[in-house]
Amino acid sequence: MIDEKPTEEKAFTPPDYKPILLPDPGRRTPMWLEEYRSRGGYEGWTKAIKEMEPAAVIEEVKAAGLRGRGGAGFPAGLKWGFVPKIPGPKYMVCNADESEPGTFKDREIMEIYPHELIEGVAIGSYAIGGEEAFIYIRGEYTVAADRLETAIEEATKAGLLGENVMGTGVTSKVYVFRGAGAYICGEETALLESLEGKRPMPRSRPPFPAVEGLYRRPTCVNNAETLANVPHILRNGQEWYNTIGIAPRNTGPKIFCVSGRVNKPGNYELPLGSVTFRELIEHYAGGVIDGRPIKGVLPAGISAPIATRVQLDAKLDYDSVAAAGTMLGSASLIVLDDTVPIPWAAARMLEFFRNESCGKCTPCREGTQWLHKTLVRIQNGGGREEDLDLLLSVSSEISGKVLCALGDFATSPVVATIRNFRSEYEDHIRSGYSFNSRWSPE
Amino acid sequence: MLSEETRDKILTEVRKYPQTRTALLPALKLAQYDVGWLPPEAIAEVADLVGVSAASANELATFYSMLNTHHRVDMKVEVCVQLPCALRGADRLLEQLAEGLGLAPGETSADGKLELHRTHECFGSCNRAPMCRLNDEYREDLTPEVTRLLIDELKAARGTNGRIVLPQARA
Repeated sequence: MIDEKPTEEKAFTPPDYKPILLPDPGRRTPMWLEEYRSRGGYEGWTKAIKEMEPAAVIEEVKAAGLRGRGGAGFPAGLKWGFVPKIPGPKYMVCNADESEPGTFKDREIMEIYPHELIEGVAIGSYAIGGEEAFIYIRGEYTVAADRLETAIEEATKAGLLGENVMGTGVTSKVYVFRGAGAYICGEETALLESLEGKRPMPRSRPPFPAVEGLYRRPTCVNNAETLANVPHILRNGQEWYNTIGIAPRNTGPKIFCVSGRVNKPGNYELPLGSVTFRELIEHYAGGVIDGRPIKGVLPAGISAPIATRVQLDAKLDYDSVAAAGTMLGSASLIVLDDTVPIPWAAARMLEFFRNESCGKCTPCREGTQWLHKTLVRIQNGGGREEDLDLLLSVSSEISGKVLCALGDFATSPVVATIRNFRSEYEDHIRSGYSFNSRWSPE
Repeated sequence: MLSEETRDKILTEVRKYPQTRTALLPALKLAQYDVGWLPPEAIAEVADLVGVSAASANELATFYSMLNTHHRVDMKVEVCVQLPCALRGADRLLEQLAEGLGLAPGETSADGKLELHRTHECFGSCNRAPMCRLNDEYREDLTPEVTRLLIDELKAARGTNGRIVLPQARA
């Protein structure tokens, strides 16, 4: 089922948009405090603590329609509103554990614009009535973590963080906490376990983190890109934010990560809903290498169903992509061309999930092993006719029967590739050909 | 087993957070940086300083991929083989490194100092693929030509005491 280019090539008008989250595309040097302030940095923070009550900050972010950028797309303002207004510590936690294959947007925010994230964390912490916030960053992002720590020192020295900030009586401290290599820490409750010094395995919900989170206190966990939007919302107002993207449910800019068989892999910041899969690939990511046809695009790293054919003409926003039958998630687009063998690609995707399964839930721990083993056997010439039904059967024993989304997402590469490329699997099985667990684009 | 300096750094972490146990992961990383890996004695010493059982500390040491409870190694070369890197030649990169270094993936060199790995993580360098990590340092855009230079660099990088002296891991 190779993709054909659409017969009518419509003229493409690029959206009229100047990036704000990554304002200097291609920049490799960090923006430190002086430059950040000269470009409007910390104006949102100042306005929030000097002119607004925490409840008003929450209302502003709600009205802006900011949806979580980590993958779930849950309205951020609504999540903040769930934190009860009770005395005692409350914690804002930034999920900077970016580990989904194909995702590198938070990395660029943190390496180049660390203050943008810190300002967003501080505003969020204030909004939920917290005084201490954590940025949980994956252990491998050493450059980003070092720069965040330097930026926090700068901000603290300048009186923007710490105690009695700008004479308002507000206390705002931000800790950088480094992970140590575990995809499951991107799951919010496993992240909290990790922060508490325990083996990171997801918790049963309820209770949800808003009620019982870090140290069993009210906690809000937000993705780094989500929080990076917050200073702009506070500085320029929710009405302005609603003019970007498609109000009311798909507002604001999104950083799209494009990787795989394209000429210009990278981060591309555009308004939600402003371009389709094809337009982003063709007009921003340099098109497919050697002009080859697109076999499919994985839209949300390896965790959502592969998008093919007419799905590629869907606009890139949460609702349009869902209507087309897949999920935008973190918007990490991995592009496959017609030379990429599906049996090899599926085995490779399940290798990741098998290794990253934390082991807590039997269906995921055992099921990801069986899915991977079976796909490797198929990949390497030992496939049998009944294997495809076996894969679907194992997948159905995982879906909905596990404590967190990892198990569910692990079935996605299996179910979606069988649905879209069944004949390729069948031909491959019949041929007895072995990839020997490797493939190269050359 | 741990140096005075490391013990002090660990105690600083223990005092830093709202609850002391939060310091356990940072403490294990500090210990690993000091000793070069995490033998049982180091794990027990960390547990003692943080105020948890050795078993609790062991639960973390055996779970996270950046924590090494197997043996000391100066240089871990970890090649990302996840789908985005694999679509841009990661399988070729791994083979080229294996051949050039004379090591199968998962194997340690005869002198015990260099190890080649096919990693289980995605390192977030999908736009600069394929790539590898040398301990904590990212080496990206590894075309066949650049990889040849990397192999030469690794072979030549021996300090006066025989240790490999490219960048080391830190907490």
